[in-house]
Amino acid sequence: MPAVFVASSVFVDAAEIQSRALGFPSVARVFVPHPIQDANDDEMRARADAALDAIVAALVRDGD
Amino acid sequence: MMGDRGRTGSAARTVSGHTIPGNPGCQRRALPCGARGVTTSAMPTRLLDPTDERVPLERARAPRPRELQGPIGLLDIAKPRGDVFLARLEERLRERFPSIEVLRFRKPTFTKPAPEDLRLEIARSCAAVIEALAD
Repeated sequence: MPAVFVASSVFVDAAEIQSRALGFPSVARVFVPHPIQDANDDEMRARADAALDAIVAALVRDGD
Repeated sequence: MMGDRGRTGSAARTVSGHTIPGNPGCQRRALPCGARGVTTSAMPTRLLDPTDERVPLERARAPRPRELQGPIGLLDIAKPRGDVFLARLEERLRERFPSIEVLRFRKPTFTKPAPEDLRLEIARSCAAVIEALAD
């Protein structure tokens, strides 16, 4: 099933290493600005708005 | 890995190419015969590389449709603030793709992989899944 994960930008390197170690280097991923846990609701919504296009693109053929 | 670089300390020094924490009263020397690490006079210390040397079977990305298809599952991995992010994502997806159903799921805890029954439920009911939000 098409899938994409979303993580904060501090996970860019970890995601690359883990995806290779687990045999899934092409796993679809989208990163949003870090930090998350200190962000207020408006900042979290802004992150979601900004990430939406990339998330949708990762789930369709043109996003490959 | 650590054996090559050693550990750094305020009084680090190098013995036979290995940088080790300085302690003038402690006798240390480099291990012979390619062993990675240092020894003390009392007990040998071996520093091992914990990296998994096995080569995993490589998986390919699942084929993508030309256009987004539903139902779309939003999987909350249960880290703080992820619920706000996913609620907004759900709102935006419903606005942009009104004909596509959006379903919400949540892991019991972010400290463990999703339970098998949850994974099966997502596989049964969704055409795509978005997992968030790791920080």
